Amino acid sequence: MKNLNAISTHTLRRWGTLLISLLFVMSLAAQNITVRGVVKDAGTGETIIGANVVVKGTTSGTITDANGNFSLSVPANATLSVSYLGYETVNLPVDGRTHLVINLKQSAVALNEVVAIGYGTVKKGDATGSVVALNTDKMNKGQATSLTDLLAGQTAGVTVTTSGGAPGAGANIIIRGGSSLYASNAPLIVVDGVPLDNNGVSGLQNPLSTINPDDIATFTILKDASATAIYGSRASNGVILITTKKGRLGQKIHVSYQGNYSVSTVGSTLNVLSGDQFRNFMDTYWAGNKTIPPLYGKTSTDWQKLIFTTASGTDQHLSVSGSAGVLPYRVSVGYTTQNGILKTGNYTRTTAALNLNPSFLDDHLKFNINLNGSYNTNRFADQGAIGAALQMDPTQSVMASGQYGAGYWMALDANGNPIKIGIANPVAILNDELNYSYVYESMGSAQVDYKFYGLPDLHAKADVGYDITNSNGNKTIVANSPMSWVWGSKKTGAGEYDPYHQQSSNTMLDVYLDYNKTFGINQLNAMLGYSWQHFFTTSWNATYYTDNTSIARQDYPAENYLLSFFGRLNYTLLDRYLFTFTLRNDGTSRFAPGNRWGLFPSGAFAWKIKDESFLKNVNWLSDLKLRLGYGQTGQQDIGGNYYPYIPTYNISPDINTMYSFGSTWYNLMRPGAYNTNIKWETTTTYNIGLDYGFLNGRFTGSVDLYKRVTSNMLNNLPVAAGTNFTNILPANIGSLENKGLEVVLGGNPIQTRDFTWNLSYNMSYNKNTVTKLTRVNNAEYGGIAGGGISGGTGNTVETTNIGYPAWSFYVYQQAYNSKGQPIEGVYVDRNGDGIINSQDLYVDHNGAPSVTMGLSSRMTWKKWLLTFTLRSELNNYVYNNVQSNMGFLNNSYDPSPFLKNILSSALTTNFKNAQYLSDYYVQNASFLKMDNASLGYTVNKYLTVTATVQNVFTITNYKGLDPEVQGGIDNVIYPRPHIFLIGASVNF
Amino acid sequence: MKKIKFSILLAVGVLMTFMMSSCTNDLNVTPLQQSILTPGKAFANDSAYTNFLAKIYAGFSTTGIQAVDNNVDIQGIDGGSQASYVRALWNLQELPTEEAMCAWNDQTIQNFHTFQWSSSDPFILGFYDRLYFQITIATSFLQQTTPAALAANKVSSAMQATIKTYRAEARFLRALAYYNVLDNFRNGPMVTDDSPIGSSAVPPYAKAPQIYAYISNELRSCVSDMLPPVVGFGPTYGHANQAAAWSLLAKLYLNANTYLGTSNTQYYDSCLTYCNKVINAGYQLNPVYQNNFVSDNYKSPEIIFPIVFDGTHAQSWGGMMFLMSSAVSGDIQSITASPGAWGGNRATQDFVAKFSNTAQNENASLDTRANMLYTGFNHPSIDDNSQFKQGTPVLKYSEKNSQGVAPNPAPSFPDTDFPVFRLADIYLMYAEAVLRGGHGGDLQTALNYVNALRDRAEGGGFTDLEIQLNQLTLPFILEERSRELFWECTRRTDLVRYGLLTSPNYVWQWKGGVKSGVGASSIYNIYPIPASDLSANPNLIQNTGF
Repeated sequence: MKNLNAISTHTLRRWGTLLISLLFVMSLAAQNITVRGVVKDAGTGETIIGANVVVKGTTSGTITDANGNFSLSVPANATLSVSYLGYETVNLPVDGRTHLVINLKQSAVALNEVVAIGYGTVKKGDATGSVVALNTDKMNKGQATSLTDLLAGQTAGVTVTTSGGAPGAGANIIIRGGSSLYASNAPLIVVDGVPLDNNGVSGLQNPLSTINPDDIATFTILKDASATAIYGSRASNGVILITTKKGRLGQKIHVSYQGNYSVSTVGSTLNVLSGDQFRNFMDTYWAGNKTIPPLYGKTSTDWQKLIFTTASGTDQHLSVSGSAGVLPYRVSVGYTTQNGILKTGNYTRTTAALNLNPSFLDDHLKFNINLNGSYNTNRFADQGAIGAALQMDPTQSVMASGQYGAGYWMALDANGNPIKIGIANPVAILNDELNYSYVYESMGSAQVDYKFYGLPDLHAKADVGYDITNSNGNKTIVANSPMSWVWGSKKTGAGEYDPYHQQSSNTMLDVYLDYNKTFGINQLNAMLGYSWQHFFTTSWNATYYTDNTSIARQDYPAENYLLSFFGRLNYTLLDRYLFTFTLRNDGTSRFAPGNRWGLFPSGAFAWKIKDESFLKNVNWLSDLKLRLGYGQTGQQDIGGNYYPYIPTYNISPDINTMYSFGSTWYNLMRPGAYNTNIKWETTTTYNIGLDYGFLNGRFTGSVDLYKRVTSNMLNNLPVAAGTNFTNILPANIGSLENKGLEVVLGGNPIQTRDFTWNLSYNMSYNKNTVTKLTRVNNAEYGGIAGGGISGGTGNTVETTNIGYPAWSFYVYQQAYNSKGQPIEGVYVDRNGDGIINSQDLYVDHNGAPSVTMGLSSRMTWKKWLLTFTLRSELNNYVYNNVQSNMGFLNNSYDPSPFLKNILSSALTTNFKNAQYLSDYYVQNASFLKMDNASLGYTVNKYLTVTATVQNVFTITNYKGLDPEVQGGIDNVIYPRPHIFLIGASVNF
Repeated sequence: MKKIKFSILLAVGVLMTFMMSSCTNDLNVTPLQQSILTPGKAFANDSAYTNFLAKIYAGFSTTGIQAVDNNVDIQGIDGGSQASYVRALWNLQELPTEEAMCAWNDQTIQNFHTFQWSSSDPFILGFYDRLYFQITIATSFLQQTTPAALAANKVSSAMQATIKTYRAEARFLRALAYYNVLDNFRNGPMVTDDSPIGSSAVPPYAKAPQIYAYISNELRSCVSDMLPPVVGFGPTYGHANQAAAWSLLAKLYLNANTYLGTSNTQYYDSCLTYCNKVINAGYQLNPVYQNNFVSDNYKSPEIIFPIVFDGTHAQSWGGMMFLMSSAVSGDIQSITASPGAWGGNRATQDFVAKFSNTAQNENASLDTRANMLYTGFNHPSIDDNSQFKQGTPVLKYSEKNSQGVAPNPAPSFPDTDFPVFRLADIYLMYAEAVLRGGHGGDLQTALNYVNALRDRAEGGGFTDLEIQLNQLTLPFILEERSRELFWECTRRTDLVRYGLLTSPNYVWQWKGGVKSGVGASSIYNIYPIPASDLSANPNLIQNTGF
């Protein structure tokens, strides 16, 4: 018998070891380890909830939880791919580690960025229209009192012109040239789904200043009709969509503080003659005139110095966001106060904002509730003081003891009585006029998003919103002050108290259904909705004089409604070919029943060329997309005229405008003008654009070419005499065209570990032409006159006429002598008929620029940050009304008698009499401005400090004070100060 | 699942349809402002017709329905300076003559004295728009007060009787506006009782003969319904009475040959008919010339039809405020107690010369009408037109009363009414019509009337200024009209009638833009239809030469 246990244990052991090793190796290879980790934002250190953590190359993965943590079982040699919208994806090999901290950097590639479009959002890469999303963190920093400050120079095709340097000053925003002549040219501004009413609020220069810029999360500008047509009736001038910052579910408390302290200084002022220069000039120019020398005062006063001062201000903002259980919230408060460089002026604002965005039923029911409130107070320093300071006799002292003027010097005639056409003492204007306003504003919206059970691709959404303002103000003029003798209609020394009140409340409701479906290579998004809006406003004003007379209070309530049905269809094929169609049917209460509905369609096509196979491997090109868009939008906002089609009678209660029969005075009843045919103005836009990007998104940009045609233009023009109860009536006659080009290029020319330089450049060119104006073309017709100026009565220097841009200057052509000096009163006889009359006026440029450019630069080096913004307008002309009204030599003596100062430039111009209509005063105001420059230092992860200068410098050839003039007529502008700010930003 | 989907979609669909239908009615709105009324509410009270009529009158005085010159009738131009009836009438009738020259630089105002105006002139446009505004609201008043319309509004019979008079007055006021159109523009759009106001239909074009005939027929048919003539102040002061219609007819016929391009003496017969009616109505020359132009001139027995102004209740920068304030600078303001001192308009030396002693005008130094000329600046020749103190201020309209007392406290706006027609004008028209060969009057009576004026001009009951029969000639009448009616808005019409407005044979300083005065093209005998109306009304044809 042989021993069967002859298999040697050695063999067994050997095989066993091999087996076990094999198993070990196998299990090693197939062995999953549990990796735990946290995903954070590389910049702020905040954890990111909902980030995708996927094993690269597989579909196995998870998302981070409410604390940013994840736990995943992966092969030990796996690579994790971690991504989140708006951040760069990170690929990290596990290398056997069981605990990972992954930091995600915010994405420089904007294509995945989600931008807001009307009633929805879309990835930037998928947008078919001309849409620009501004990154609020990178925008103009430093005392951005209002969101109009944030905009300037940032976007191609958007020009923002403030009215001047007054605190809280209003601004005009024009997108791609104005499309209307008579109706509003302001874009529609939508805040958290609530479209704001653009009509002014009494007592508040800039109604948009009530939104604190630090509360703004996204700022999207929709420029072409394919993007704006979804807003139909209010979208002809572009749309600005603003959303405010929100809290995030599961976020731990985050506190953020922004504050700064600012000092504003006066830049340069206009040159006028000093006391001694004035005396010398008068003695020479008016030699032989015996009434003048006794009028000289005994001193030398620099009136401009007395009215301007260095001013301080501060802006504080605190916000707390977090998540109270299932309720994410954000609360913020802000306080801003700014003194003006014109003494006694001040603007103060307190804001509060609350945002709640809970989601229930497992994300099937989401709410986004926004509430916003502000309280604004103004003390207005009357800007008339600036013009008065330029003309006030520089030989006189500020104060005078006498019967008239309430302690201030004022001109008296030979009998010792106040001269009623004199100049009011500038210091008195600032001290003895008290003009206050108190404005409450609140807006809010509740957005509901319901995802259907059983049909998760379908959402039902509703937005309910309101926008209320309540403003009160009053102006007091002290009795016997110089203003009480020289201003207004009484001119008897009576003081006055003018209270006013305005209230507006707008409410809206939107409901819509949204459906998304992807099937195969097709992707479909459909949206259908209904909107209802009501605007109500009422105001009153009254005047009470200290002589016990008054102008009674009259109330002016008015309202209008807008109703719409709208829908949109987005279809994407192969993720490369995108089609969008929108249709909106708007009804307004402004027009008669037969004319009140307007249909506004739009269509757009986009082709993501970069995703085509022939470009897929071209690595230096990271993005190329072609966009074609067409759309029609409407306009019906003719301002304060709410009932233009209804025949009415106005029985005026005014006691100063009556007629008598015998001894009885009767009020007057006048039939009101009306136009039953008034209807929508339509603007059709054609847009072709190309978006491009290089080097993996390191450089991006776009080029857009557009044409906007406004037809059935709402035009306030002469109606045939004898057909209606006034001479000028809004009617739909005329058309206007805007053609233009926009170029944007931005990126990081330098990008190293320590030093990054980001530059962003935009340029736009726009040409505006009136193509039809009146019912009948009359060659003799000079156009619709406009552009009133100071000086004389009723002088106008602008016209709107066929073949020219709207509101072009319409003046005489000045003749010059061989030395290049203007020959006073001599103009070129352009039609050669031997006389100089209105037929010799010609169109000489206009106030709108042909080209606007903006350049923003941002450099970071380790913990330092240096930014600046440059902005330029070319070919904008300004009518220098300051020179035309205060720059002629005979203006220095009025036979009443009193003396007026003249501009130093008057001595060079050498005109004796006013020549208001000379093109000598239409001056090229092209400029280059550096709007702001800022240096910041990140002390640690909590604190950043910055020092900023606003309105750094201006380069221009314009002969007036500031080439940036709203409306193109420079009639004494409130100078824009240089502002120096020191600020700090704290986050934890 | 499908059921849930379907029912949800159905529910949503129903909800939306419900919302749509209930809310579209929101688009029908009515004005909320209390003073703005739809026609039904506006005429609910009988008194509304009086308020409506008051507005037609007020349109000649103030410029809107709110103080001062606010909520204006005519837009797009400066309401107070260009679309005020009296101011515009004065500018167009006085500046192209020897009686006035303006020192200001307001837009194209200089073009009137230099005969260089064009169809885009804003002052001409303002006047034209004002006239047609008056024509339109008067026509609308007539359309709202037809017997059918009054019955539909259930107006009381007492009020209906009063409205009959109102209708006649509205027709008179409309005829007055048309008269200004005829006199200044000759041709223009025609609006009548049948015109559909508020529609897009444009009015037809009418030439001078048609407008002339319309005015003549209108006045002759409405005059019998107007109030009988009233002399001086009474409970109907302010209303136009029959004497106003007769005066306008007299003026229309005196100028008919000019308007129609004929030379028919029958028009002078008609002129005399109506002059006699006025003269026999009881009006008297005011013993003091000045008292026709003072703050209580409503008492004057000489004024036939005024435009009412008041310091509190009828305020406007145009109107009487303009007439007073533009005539004075601060240092002479107290002479007329003018509420404003704007230093704009004054007379040329050629006008002043009409008050110097000549063979045709003996004892001229006794003429108290010349007291209104301020000679204190002592610089009658206008060498530099921008200097108000060169030339001679005309202190005609005064805020002092007939006792020479200025009001205290000084008002901000004047109380003096503007005399549209006064007896002196009728006397001179009588004389002229007789001299031109009209029947119905005689030379001796004409002489008596003229001498009555000149006696009054001397005052004190003296007769040193009286003239002889052989001195009563057409050229004398022209000059006497200037001495009597200066700055009362008739001079241009008179010069046109005599063929002298643009003639090189009758010049004054700066006429035609040359210092010694030159003639101008005859096209300037009338004003052009504004280019803006030609571009709104394809039926219109521009006047020759413009």
